[in-house]
Amino acid sequence: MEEPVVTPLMRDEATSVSDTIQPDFLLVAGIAASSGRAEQSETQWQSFDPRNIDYERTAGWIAIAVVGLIMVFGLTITGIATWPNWMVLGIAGSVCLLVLGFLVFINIYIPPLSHSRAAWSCDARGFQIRKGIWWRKVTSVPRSRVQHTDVHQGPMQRSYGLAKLTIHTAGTQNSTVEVEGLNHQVAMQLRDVLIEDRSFQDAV
Amino acid sequence: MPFNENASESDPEHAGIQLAGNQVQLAGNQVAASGELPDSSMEGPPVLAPPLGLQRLHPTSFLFEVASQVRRNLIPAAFAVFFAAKDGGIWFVVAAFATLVALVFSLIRYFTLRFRIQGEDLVVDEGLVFRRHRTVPVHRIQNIDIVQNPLHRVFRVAEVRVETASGNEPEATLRVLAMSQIDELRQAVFNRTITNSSLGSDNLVLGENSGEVQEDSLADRLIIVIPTSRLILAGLLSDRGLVVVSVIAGLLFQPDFRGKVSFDAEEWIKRIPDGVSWLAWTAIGIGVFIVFALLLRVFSAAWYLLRFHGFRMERRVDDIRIRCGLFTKVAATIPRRRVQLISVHRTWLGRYFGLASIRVETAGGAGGDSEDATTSVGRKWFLPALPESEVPRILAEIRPGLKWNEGELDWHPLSPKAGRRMVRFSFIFCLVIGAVGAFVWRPWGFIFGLALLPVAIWYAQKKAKATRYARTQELIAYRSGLLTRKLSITFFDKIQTLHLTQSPFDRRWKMATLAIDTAGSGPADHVISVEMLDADFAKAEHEAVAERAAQAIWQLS
Repeated sequence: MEEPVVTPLMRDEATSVSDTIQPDFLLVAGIAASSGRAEQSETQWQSFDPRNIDYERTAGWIAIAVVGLIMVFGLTITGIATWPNWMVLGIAGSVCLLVLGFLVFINIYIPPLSHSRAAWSCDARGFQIRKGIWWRKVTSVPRSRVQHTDVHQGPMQRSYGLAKLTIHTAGTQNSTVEVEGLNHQVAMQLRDVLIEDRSFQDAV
Repeated sequence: MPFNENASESDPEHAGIQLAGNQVQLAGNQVAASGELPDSSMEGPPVLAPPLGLQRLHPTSFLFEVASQVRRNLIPAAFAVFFAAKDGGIWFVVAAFATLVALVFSLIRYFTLRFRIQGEDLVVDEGLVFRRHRTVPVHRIQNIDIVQNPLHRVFRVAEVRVETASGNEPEATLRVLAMSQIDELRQAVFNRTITNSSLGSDNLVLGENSGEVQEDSLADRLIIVIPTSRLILAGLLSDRGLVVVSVIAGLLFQPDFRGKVSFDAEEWIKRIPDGVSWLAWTAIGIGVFIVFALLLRVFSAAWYLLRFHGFRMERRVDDIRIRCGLFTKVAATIPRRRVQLISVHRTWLGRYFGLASIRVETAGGAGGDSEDATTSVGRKWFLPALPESEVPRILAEIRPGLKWNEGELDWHPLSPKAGRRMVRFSFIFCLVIGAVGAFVWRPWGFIFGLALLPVAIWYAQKKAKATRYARTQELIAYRSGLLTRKLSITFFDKIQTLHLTQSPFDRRWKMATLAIDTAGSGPADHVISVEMLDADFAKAEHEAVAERAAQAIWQLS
């Protein structure tokens, strides 16, 4: 019985892998240890990189700033158009403030919540991801059904050392499974591990 | 079993791809009669099949290419002509230019398209300025479909579509080839596939019947034919006629025709004498309705006859072959190891007459709603009419070793509260209908909602009871529907991903949805997505199915 070989960690210069990462995020153990044979039917869930919370929040602040700017622009125009009448501007302004306040509230409270709900696991059976606060979803991809995998890293994700792993299958309704918020190194390892074992000829 | 045991076998060699492009001669001076130029570059594993030399399209291709372009652009062309008639001038130029472009492209395609089998690949080259060099590994070819309409038959040619698992479009469309060329192509491709599958791991997919491969190796075995009488019956029971009606309706609502029709209607009303009672009106209404319904059925039967006349299904080793058609003849080949999902549909009228129909899904090729002749025959209309008693036998033909007994499966019902949840939903539905009715026709419109309520409740309860889920060592089955009962089967080795979802409402009712995705592209019109399962049961099933699906491949390798 062979264990899948996990490639050595690739140090990405651009990634500032700090010491704050807990060892279990670079989980070679999480990928490799459980991948002998799926005798244990209990799924061993790994949580995502906690920096994901900061990342989500920062992205949220940027989005809120954009929305705010648009609102200021709209309000200015409204103000000019309805100049002597303060009523319209007042109502529109307070609605905008309410919306902004709601968005700020969401942006503060949602990311930690969704982080605590989301988890992934990779074992001999394959890859599993679970996420969602209100609408919850667990997705399983049997290992042998993985056609190919991508790791994508945007500029902002790079500054947080995060990456998005996309798993492609031959399926139709859900042919891609996107895993966001992984540590970049973990994503790279997963990418390689998931397509390493081709013990079959044709999945379809 | 270790993962990479068979790794060496699974990688076919694609050497010679880069070289092949240079061998293509573009000018028309190398007109090769079929099979004149055998390609000597036989690389890779030794194969028994004869090599297929450089081939080109049949000379009449040009004609059919133009015809196809015209048909594809019929609607834009009609618009152009319409506008031209209205505004004149510029639109005529546009239409003429579009036609010219289509003609030029057809000509280029005809003169530049070449294909051959080289080593283990089908190689297709085309293009003048932008050259397209396409290499399709022969063992990846899912099927070769053939369409032959009456005009094709005059010239003894047919349109060929080579399909692989990717995308919604055929990998290569060869329009048109001489019948002798097609035979050569099919032989070259399928002989290779057979050699491959009996050497490679695919053989194991055949399961218990694998011994049969030697037995009837190359003989066609008849599976089923549909007699014309059954075809007509199935047509009469179906509402396919709606397709014809929608086409007619579409014509009537064209701007040109509408004026005339409404004018006619006014004339008709004027002609009716005044003193006709409402009773007579009702009688006329009912009469018209009955005539319309009958016509619909007749249209349906005609459509069935046109499409499926002389339906014949055969099996040759691993390939199921279907031939049918009255004027336009279609031949489809479906390797049965490629079947992702089998779906048995039983309409309420069909059940009364003991008829069912079977659809199958393969990867790629057939786009979901395609009504195109080849893609729909063979997938969506895999077997349009068969007696109920034949279902188990046919299923065993599609999936070797499958012992199908629907009654013996351990059918698991939905959550016990599912009926109540559906009933609550129909309450809300009827409330909305009633509210809308009351708003439109105050205050008595509410009656509509009220009248609908008992029906809706009955329907909800029945529907909840009719939805079932079953799992065995080999397969997952899901059936649903009240009037048209659909039963779909997929196998663990065909499961691509599986999902367990829970909405906030689901959580309140302690329910969950279990969905299974295969590579089938949707012509069965029945997705395995079981809603309102008991949450704990769904979770346990999700784990069990994931486990089993992961193992299914190991068994095959």
